[in-house]
Amino acid sequence: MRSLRVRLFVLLAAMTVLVWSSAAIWIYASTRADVQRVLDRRLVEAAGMVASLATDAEDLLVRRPNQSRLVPLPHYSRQLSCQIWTLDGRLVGRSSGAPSQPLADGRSGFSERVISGETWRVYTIADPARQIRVSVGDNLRVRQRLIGDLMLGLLAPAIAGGVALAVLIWAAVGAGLAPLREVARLLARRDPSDFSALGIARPTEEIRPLIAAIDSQFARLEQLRADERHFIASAAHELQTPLAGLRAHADIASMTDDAATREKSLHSIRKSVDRTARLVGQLLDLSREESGEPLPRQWVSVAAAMDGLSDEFSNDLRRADVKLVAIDTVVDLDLHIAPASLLLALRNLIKNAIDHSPLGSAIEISAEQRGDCVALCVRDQGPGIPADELGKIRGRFVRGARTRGPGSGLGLSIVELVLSQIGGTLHLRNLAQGGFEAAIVVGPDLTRRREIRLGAESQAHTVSKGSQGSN
Amino acid sequence: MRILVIEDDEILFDAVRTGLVLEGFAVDAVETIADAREAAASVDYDAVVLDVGLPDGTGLDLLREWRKAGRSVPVLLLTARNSTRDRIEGLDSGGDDYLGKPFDLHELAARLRAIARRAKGNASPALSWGDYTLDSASRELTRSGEAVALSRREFALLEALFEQPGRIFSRAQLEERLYGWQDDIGSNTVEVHVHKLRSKLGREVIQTVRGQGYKVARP
Repeated sequence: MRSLRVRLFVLLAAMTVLVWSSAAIWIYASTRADVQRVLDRRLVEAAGMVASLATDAEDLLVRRPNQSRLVPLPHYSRQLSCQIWTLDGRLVGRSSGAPSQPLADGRSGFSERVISGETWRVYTIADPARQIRVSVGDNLRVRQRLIGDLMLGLLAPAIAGGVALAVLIWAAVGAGLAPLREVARLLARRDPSDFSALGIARPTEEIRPLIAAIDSQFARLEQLRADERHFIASAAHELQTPLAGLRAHADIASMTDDAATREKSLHSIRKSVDRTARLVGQLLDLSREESGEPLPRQWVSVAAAMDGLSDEFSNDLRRADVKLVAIDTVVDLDLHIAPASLLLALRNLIKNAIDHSPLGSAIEISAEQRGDCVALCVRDQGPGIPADELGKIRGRFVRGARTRGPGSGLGLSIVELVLSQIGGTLHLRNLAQGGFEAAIVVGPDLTRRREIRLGAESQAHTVSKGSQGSN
Repeated sequence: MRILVIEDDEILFDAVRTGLVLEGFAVDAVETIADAREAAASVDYDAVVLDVGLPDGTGLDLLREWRKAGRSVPVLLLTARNSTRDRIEGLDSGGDDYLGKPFDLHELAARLRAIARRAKGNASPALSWGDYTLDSASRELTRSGEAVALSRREFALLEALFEQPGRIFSRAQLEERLYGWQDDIGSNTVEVHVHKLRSKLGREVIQTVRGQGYKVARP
């Protein structure tokens, strides 16, 4: 049933009808019994009364040799029939309308008998002193009609009451559902961009959990939207600055007559375009990681990923005069992760490390056991991050206060997002011996050590693969 | 006119500094609030370009701090946060003007000239002194309608004197106004510029006040 109101109404109406029907059956039964009792008592009284009025049998026979002389017997309502018999079986008197066959079979007390299709309930008194027997009977059909009339008399108000009750139940169910309707009305009228609480002052107990759930959902949506807005505003803000730089350098290039100044501005424009492109790329990475389906995971060799990245970064590394070194501990390490995710995380960490590495230094990639987990560490020899900034540095668009590099402040957020999808964490710390370490820490189920086949065979294999690749 | 630029973005920092120098300003540029505080304490700037988002705090805090301390230097706020609310907050914090990124360098220069001019009580962009008219925007000096060619420094020096006729400027004050930290003062001292100006304009324009400096007489 689609309407809660109809559903409740039908349930309540059905139950009312059931209760009322049971009551009616009960009333019918008890009324019937009462009526029988009362009418039986009337029979007894009537019989007694007739018996007391009658003289003895001889007298009745002498004075009234014919039935017609018996007429002066007390005239009772037509419901009752009366017969007076002598004990030896002669009819000496009967009421008008009474049948001429004996109403009873001669026994004293109550009896029932069918006479020409009508059932009679009869009470009989025998008076041996006067030699008479008095029988008073009720036609049962009349009795039934009486009970029927009584029940019909009850049914009419019951039907009227039922209709009234139906209307009242319908209205009451409506009133009872008012709090729900109120919630529905508030939700329907709500501006789609309105995420405030429903604001129902004293919610009904039963719908309180519903309202609490709706309100908390709204609050969550509101928070999400605020975060999103903040993110978009921050992203736009982050783009404005390099755009302003581009614009200003373009102005300078067209303003100046000095070739060196123009060249410098053009160089800055190129740098700014690269940086803006990187920022846009990171924004895309972030939104892809955030909204996209999780990529399928597989066992990925960290060493292979590193090879790809050192090719990718070869220009940056050369320009920054930094070496990228993979320590043997990563050579046989496999991670269970989507290859693109691993590349994305490592790319951001290595880019950060390059940006903060001093000239001529090295960036070390190593793996170590930390408790049950395995940490894949990217270590640079840069200045590190002041302790008070370590906590905030993961936030989006947050850069170190002393940072003058081209970073957007998104890299670490991207790494954290990628890791959160595989249950890994990002650990950041300044190293005691100087430098900074960013570590991807993953559980033991996501790592394995591959068996490395050393020797001529594997080398030959590598070479042949290499030569195939170059063909 | 000497300007302090407070901007943390490397590329924009470079662009504003270079661009404003091309527009004829003497420019000092710093990247942090701490450095800006120090710079403003030692030099009397004609105007300040202040980026709102800085690594060690917000520019608005620095601005409020200056205004509270009674510093009236004209400040142009430069920011990527360019909503009406942001602009109102910036101006109500004591900013004199507000420019959203990205911006046109010429507009930045014009706005700087305008707020600096007003701070000195001049409404007209052209300064007049006798037969001379000095136009800060086009950087032209005319005498009875005829252009007089001046170098950038000569123009800046004359502009300083014309802005406040009657005020005596010491050599150090003029130097401060003409040269940023970047600039190599070398032998191009204020005396040399005054000498050149006198040879172009005649001796009567710039007067030497013995032991104190230079001035132009009140017209």
